Amino acid sequence: MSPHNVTNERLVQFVLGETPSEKTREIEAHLRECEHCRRAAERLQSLLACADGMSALPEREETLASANREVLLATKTQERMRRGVLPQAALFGRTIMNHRMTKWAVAAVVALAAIAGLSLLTGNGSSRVYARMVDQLHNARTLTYSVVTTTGVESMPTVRVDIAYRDTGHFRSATPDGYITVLETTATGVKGISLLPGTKDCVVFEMANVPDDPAKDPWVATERLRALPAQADRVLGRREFDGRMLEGFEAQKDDTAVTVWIDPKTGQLVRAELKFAGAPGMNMVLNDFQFDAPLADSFFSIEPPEGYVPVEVAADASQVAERDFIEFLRLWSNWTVDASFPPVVCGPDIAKIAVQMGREGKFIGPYAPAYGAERQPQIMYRGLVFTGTLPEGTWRYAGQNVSFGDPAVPIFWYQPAGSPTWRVIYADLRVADVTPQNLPK
Amino acid sequence: MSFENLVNEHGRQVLGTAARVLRDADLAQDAHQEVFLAVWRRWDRYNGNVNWTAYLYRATVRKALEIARRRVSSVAVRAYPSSTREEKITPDGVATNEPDGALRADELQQKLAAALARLPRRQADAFILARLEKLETAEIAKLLGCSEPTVRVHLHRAVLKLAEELHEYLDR
Repeated sequence: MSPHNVTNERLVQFVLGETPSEKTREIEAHLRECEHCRRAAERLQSLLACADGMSALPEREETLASANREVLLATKTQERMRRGVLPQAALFGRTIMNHRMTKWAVAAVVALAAIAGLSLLTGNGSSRVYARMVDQLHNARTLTYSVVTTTGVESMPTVRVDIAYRDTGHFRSATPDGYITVLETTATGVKGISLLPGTKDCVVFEMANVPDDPAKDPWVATERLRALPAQADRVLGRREFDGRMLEGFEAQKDDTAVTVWIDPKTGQLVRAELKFAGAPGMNMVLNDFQFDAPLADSFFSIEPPEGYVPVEVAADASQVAERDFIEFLRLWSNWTVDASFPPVVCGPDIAKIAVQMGREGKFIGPYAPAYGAERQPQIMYRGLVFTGTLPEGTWRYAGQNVSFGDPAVPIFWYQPAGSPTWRVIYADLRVADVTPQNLPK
Repeated sequence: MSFENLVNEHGRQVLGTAARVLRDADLAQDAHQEVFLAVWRRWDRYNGNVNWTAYLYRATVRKALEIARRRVSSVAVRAYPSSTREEKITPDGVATNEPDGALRADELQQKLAAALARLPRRQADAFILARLEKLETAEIAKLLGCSEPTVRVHLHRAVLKLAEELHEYLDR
C-alpha cells in the first residue's frame, strides 16, 4: 500500500475504531512501514486520549447542590422583585436596577461586600459581621464612595469619580474637574443631566422604555457570590490605612482580582481594590464608603445650573434601532479630521472624551459638516442609547482607531434578540448578517 | 414539571457537561447558572413537549463554548493561570514520564477546549457529545436532529481540524 492510500479520513476512522475488520489489518501493516502515517495516527490517538481525560472529570455533590441552590435563589429573588413584593430593604436595589448604567457599580459594590463578608464566615463570630455588612448595603438609604481608576494607558490618565446613590432612585457621578452626571429613575427609564464645565454646556436627557435585563440584576450577583467563600483565597491580615486598622481579604473571580479591606470593629467595607487580567496596568480603588450620609435634594438636582446652556435630548429606547447607531457612527466619522470612528460607544465617559478630542484639534468644527446644531446631539444620543439597550455579551465594538471607508474592516457586531445570526457593521457602514462561526475574531 | 424539578433533575447533566468542556469548576457553575436562568426567563413560553435532555445538552454546549471563547480572548493577553482549585487529570497516553507530565496534560486539555470553541458549531457539538459525553452516534443524531452519517461526518471533520490545530502539542 502506498502512503497515499491511507487518507486522513481513513486514519480518523481507524483511530475511532470505525474501520471494517478486513481493512484494519491492512492499515496496521501500512502504519508499521510508514513513519509519516504512524505519527499522524499517534497524534490523533493523543487527541482522543486528551478528550478521554476531559470526560473523566469527577463530579462533586456539594458543588452540584450549591449550583442548583443558587439558580433557584436567583430566580426566586427576581420573581419577588418583579412582583414588587420584596420588603423595603430591597428598595435600594430595585431603584438602582431601573437604570443599566448604574447597575455595574451597584453590582460591584454588593459583590465586593459579599466576597468580603463571606470570607469572614470562616472566622469566629464572623457571620454576625457578614450579616451586618450585607444589611448595611441592603438597608442603606444613601451610599457614597469614590472610585479611582488607573487606566495604565498613557493618554488616559488616572481618573477619580465620586459616586452617590440615594434610595429615591437617584445617582450622581462627579469628577474633581466638574464633569457631573445626575440620573433620576423614572417609571420605565431614566432622566438626567450632564454638565460639561469647560464650555458651560449641559445635556438634559431622558430615556424611556429601557429594557430590563435580569442578568444585570445586582441581586443575581449577590446570590452568585454566596457560593464564593471557598474562593476568597487569601486572608491578608491587618494593615493600617489612614490611621485605621483594617482586615484584608483577597479573592479571584474570572479575570478580576478583588482585595477588600474591612473595619473589624464595625464590619464596614472601607476600601476595595480591583485588578483586571484582561487590562494589564488598569486598576480601580473604591474608597471613602459612607452609608446613610444625609444628601440634600439639591445634590441630585437635574435642573441646569445658572449660566449653563442646556441641550435637550430624549429617546424612547424601544424605538431606537440599528440605523440610529449607524447614523451616529457616520456623524462622528464626518466630524473627525481623520474620519475615524469614536473611541468608545457607551458609558458616561464619552462626553469627556469628546471634549478632550476637541481640545486636541481632532474635530473639523464645532459641528460635523452637514449636521446642524439641532440634529447632532439627538443623533449622538440615539446612537448611544442603542448600545445601551443591547444586553451585555451580545455586542462588541472594534472601531477605535479605524477610519471610515474600508469595506473589509468590521467595527461593530451584535446579535439581535432571538436571531441566530449576528449583524456586522463594517468601516464603510455597510451591514451584513453573519453566522456565529464567521464572526470577526 | 416545575422549574425547581427541572433544575434538580437536570442540574447534574448541565454542570457535568459544562465542567467537561470548560475544565474549570467556577466557569462550569457560571454556565450552569446562565443556562437555567435563560430557561427560567422563557418558562411561560414552553409547552409540555420539550425534550429537556436534548434541549439542555445543546444549550449547555453552546453556553460552555461561548464562555470558552471569552476565556480564549482573555488568554490572548496573559497565560491562563493553573488554578489551585482545578482538578488535574492525567489522561492515560498523554502524560509522559517527564516531571511536568501532569501539567502538560492539563495544558493540552485547556488548548483542546480553546480549539473546540473555534470549531464550527455542529462539529464542536459532535466532538463534545461523542468524546467528552461518551454518547452513542444514534443518541447524538437524535439530540442534534440529524442522521447518524451526518454525525460521523461532523465528528471526523472535528477530529481532523483539532489534530491539525493542536499538531505541535500532540507530538509525543
